[in-house]
Amino acid sequence: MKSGKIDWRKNWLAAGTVVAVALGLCNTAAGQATEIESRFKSAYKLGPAAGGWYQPDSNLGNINFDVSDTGVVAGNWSTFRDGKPIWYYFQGEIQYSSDEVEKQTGVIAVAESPLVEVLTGGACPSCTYIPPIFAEPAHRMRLEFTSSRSARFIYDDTTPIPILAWMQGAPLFAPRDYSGEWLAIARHDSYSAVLPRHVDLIAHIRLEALTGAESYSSTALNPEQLAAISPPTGARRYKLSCVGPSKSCDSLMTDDNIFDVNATNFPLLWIGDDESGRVLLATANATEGYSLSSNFASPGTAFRIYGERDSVKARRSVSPTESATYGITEIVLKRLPNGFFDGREWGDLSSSIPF
Amino acid sequence: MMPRIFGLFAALALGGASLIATESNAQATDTETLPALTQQIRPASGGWFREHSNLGNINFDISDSGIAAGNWSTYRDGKPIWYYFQGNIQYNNPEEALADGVIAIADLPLLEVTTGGPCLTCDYVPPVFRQNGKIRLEFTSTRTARFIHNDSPAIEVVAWMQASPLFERRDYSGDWVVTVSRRPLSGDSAPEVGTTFQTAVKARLEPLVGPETYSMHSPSNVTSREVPIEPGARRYTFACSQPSECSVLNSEIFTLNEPCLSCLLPSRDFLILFFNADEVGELVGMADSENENGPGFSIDDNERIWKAYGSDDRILVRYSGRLERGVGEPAAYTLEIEMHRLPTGLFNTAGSAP
Repeated sequence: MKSGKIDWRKNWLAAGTVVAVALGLCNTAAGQATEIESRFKSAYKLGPAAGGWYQPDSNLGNINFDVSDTGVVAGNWSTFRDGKPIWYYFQGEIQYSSDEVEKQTGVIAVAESPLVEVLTGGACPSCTYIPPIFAEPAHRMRLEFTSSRSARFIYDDTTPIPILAWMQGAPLFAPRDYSGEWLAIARHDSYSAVLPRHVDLIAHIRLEALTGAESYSSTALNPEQLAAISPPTGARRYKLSCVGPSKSCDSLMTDDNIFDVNATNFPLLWIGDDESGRVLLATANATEGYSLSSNFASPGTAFRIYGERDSVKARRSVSPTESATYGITEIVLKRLPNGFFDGREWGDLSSSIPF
Repeated sequence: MMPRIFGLFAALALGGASLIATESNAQATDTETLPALTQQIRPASGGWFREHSNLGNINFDISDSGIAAGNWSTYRDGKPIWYYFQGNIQYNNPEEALADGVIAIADLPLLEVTTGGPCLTCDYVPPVFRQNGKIRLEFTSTRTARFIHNDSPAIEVVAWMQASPLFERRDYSGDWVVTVSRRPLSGDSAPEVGTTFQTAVKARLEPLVGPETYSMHSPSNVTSREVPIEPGARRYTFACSQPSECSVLNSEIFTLNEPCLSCLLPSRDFLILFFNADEVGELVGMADSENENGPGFSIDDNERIWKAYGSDDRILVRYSGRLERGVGEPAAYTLEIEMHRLPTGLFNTAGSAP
């Protein structure tokens, strides 16, 4: 859809209070990738939380939006002009970043839209309907999402303003606690001259909050590397363990393209204030803190994770320019409510096959 | 003075610390003895509206702990105004939801924003609020609700990004991961039918092909209700595709007929999941049938209503109740089936045996 070509006044009036143009705004049809090429792209999109976003201590007001299944982002912005309340509608198409762009820029998605100011409307909610009157869009906004709850808001060409999904964590709500039971859906696809392969699995896993000291060491990393991957102070940290089924757990924990743990270490998952973070391999030190492995330490092979409400998405990818063995690993965690599963074994849900 | 960090939400926070401490006390249980449901049907976050009305837009999110908060952009005497609101959402239990269709309720005092800063990039000027009325939202599905402003008549609203009239209806066909948890009343049934059952399987939903002609089928020939499938409903066959678990699931939980018994009662040859326009539907047992009007489908009227609620990439089916019938399943149990969409092509093996 080309937003600039919309006859806003006509379309918005036709829909009453909300855009009719949304009808049929559907596909961001990309080019036809081959099956093999598509395997090396992320299957899960990283996107923003629907609802309200804001910036404390600013005149921003509230930006509210939802994202449709087909990638239409639309909502309204309630703000002020000369101290008086005003509000705009907006609508555009969200552009999800490729894995490469996300790795390089930290931006998971971008949305741009003209702003359509609502000038007048009906007398009251229950009064006879009077179609609202909109101004011609004279301004634009751009949202650059860096996680499910953090973004940069850019109004016309003004300086970006960092904004937050305000119901999703600090400063107004307690940070989300990811500990508990989860369903892990994982897959790995890789290509090498020797062994191109595909692995997929579904497993019941558990995240337990780590309470050890926030000190980290490594015998394999130099101080700069260690500082780059260590959880920031105050980050939420969890030990990931696999409950079952056993074959799925074997693949998840020991496959050298997924977590690749040994007899002593475990996947340490950390999430920062913006709900993004990393998965590392760690060993609890005898005295305090944790020793971190070099696995997943380099930017090219790091597991980057993004927390959402009832979901955590982790992925790592190695591009053909980085290694002759390249591919992608995706792990999506879906929360299992307390009491849903009690840990008993169910059947195997894993496969590992060449392609 | 409210803490500055709250910015525009200074008044909204209504004693900011309580936001962190407050928990929804809603807990859906059928009776004291039935195992509790583990999750609620949460309304869609984002914008809600009413076509061809002066309502404007209601926007909200719901916190993990059950706080609903957002803003309402509307008009007074034709001029744009907006409010903040905040309150706890109260989730109804399945019996209440079945009785009146309301899955959750939020009563929300309104804080009108009367003034604020001169412009976006100007020096911050804390907004000024005043309490001015209240709204009540009675949610009947993830995307439908009744909006009541003060004591005015209820206005039907919909989450406007979730489907019609502005967007195409959601298509649930495709591959899914399905988690199943059935928890019977302890000691209520014989071991072979009363054990806790839990599993995860892969399943595929495919559009059901066939006429929109149905009949309810009851072993007693006295049906308990009308056909629940509305004309135009989205209908999908539910096919479990992970063999070792599927056989147990199909026989023990879904109580589907063995092939050799398909000519006998009840009419549960296959399962379908249907969704009416409001994204609410059911998981029902079904069989092909034919009568004087031609071919159609016979729906197993087993009196247990396994209600289904759809949202963007998740479907939740739930049931909690007691029915004294010796039909090879516990009389009293709580069943939750949660489905998560698998992106196309994620698994080589989705839809086939691993």
